[in-house]
Amino acid sequence: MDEALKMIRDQMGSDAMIISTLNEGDRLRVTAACDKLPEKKNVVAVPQKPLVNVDAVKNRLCQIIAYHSLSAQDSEALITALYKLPRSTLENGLEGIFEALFNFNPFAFSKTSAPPKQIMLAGPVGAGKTVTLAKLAIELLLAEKKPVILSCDVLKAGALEQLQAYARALQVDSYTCSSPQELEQTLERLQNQIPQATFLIDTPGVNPFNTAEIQQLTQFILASKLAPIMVLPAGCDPLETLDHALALKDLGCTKFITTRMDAARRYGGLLSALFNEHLDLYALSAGPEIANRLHPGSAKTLVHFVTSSLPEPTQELQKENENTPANSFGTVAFPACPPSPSGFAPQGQSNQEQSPHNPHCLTKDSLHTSPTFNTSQDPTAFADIDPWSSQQSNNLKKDISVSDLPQWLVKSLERRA
Amino acid sequence: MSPLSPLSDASPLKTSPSRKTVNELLPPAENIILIASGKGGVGKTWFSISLAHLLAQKSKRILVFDGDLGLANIDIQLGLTPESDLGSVLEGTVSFDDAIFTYSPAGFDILAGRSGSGALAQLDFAQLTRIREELRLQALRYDWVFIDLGAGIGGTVRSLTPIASKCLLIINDEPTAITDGYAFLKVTRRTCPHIDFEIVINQADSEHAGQETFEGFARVCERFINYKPTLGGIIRRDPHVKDAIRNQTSIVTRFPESTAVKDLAKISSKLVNLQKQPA
Repeated sequence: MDEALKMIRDQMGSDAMIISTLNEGDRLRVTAACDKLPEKKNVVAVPQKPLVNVDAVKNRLCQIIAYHSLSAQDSEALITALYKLPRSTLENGLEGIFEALFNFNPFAFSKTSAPPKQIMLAGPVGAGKTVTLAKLAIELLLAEKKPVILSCDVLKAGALEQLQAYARALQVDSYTCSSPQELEQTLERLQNQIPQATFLIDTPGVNPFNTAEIQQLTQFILASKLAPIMVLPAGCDPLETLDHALALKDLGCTKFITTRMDAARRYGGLLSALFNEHLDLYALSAGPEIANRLHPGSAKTLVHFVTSSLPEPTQELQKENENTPANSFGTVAFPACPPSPSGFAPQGQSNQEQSPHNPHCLTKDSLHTSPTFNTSQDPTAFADIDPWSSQQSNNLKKDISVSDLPQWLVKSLERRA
Repeated sequence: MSPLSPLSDASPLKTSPSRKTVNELLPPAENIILIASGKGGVGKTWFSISLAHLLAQKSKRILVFDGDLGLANIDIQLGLTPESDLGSVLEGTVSFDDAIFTYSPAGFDILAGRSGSGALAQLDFAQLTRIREELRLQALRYDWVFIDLGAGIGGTVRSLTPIASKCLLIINDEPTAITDGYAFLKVTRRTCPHIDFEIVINQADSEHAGQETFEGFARVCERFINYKPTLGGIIRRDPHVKDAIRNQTSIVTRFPESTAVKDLAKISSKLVNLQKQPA
């Protein structure tokens, strides 16, 4: 027995405990157990190969789903959908998978293409419709288009003033329409007067579970003759967001703008709404200041946001990334991004240094279809500012002629600097 | 609401399509078999290993998956210490393929769980679904995949069941085993009506006593849920079983002539004959 004990200690360490003994005639069979075997005991040798990309990507998606606290049903449906994708899609990494699982329809205003005739925003109170409208106006201005703001939100205190302040600052015409009839008439009149304009229509915040409010919004939508884009904030309960999205989808919304991306970390609601309701992601908004530009609703941007607050991938995964410069993981793609990502690489570095090597790095050119927008050529390229980087603000003072900017915006930027 | 005329970039009205349920999307795999019991300690793991061993002797390719994720013990029963298991896969250190190893004395494959791992006991639905879908992929390479389910009807069990097309439900003549087995059958039939149940009576005092246990069980099922399971087989009580488990060896290696192995052989022949028949 002493001999058996010694053998156990040698093989399994000093913590091993005997759980059974069996007398087999001239021999004694002893079974011992321990919580954790000491190193280098291999009864069954299993080769430890490095992970292939595909396994790592699957693991990463599981991690994302868990972190963003999607419901059990959504988790199951998403992973099931993942396993229906061809291997070639998985080999494209998270971005390829997102392209396959979700729909994207990013805004793309450029100097050379015609802008949309009108954009109406609808969503719950406080979702960020008005700020988003102002941000859309900036995008249109940068593409040298003519945005015209129409506000239908005449009831909420301060709503009109807020929008008019933005309009003044951006030197954009704005009109107020207090009823659906007025909206219809104003639109008709202005469409004749300014045929090249893009009409940005703000609607009153709506409680999607209140029939009267939904009916009122419906009247505005009918008067505008076009389905609105839904605006929902990030960071809400996934099931709640899904209910909101469903209610707004019933009004005809198929495009989706998500706001407060900077003030939230868990984007389960966004993912759930996109996946279940097959909505097209149009834009992502981070930051309440209109100087923070809208992010186009692309797979690249979404991957960046959902992975930016996740723990780093396991070491095996990182090793692989080092070997392949054009890696398939969205997580390491933004080395210069602070916790609240603006999605823009720092000025000056982005075009020369990062984009040729790293396909995941969001540069101006990849985000926007106006390649001529360069700080050196165009003084109005003010919006390429990363407000989280102090270096950025210094660049602003040096490179951009502030006299070309609206005064309101200049003040806002100076406060940050 | 009248349809709106699309003018430009904005989208016209459209109604939301009805959501598909997961079961509609997933056809079960013909060759994935659940080994379940409801109650613990009836002999699921022993049965899975021994049946896999007998089928491997007939040159069938078998994978046994230890589906009792938090309290896995296939490796304990066979006296193995696998270096990689399901935990390693979910930690991201090995791939699914590499975590599967062959139990060389018998020639069937095992994907082990991890005993005493809190992480595996509380998997989220994304990971559970991932395991399920990986098993579905693995099933393409095997004649049969056995999922040795844990006791109970928790999230893990419910998440794994939809891919199987058959369930071998192990019971014995104890009232607790019968009621828990019935509860498992009832709940599983409700969510996965496509699964065929075959009842295996383990630790029967005799062939006749086993038959009686089955008749009683089948009567209850027929009366309350209007479903009559078939008899998968009767395994007579055999002291060699306990001996083999204590020795951490497959009973097929240790006592190939024992009554338990003979009874198991009938079940394995049945499976093989079933496979030969065109579906």
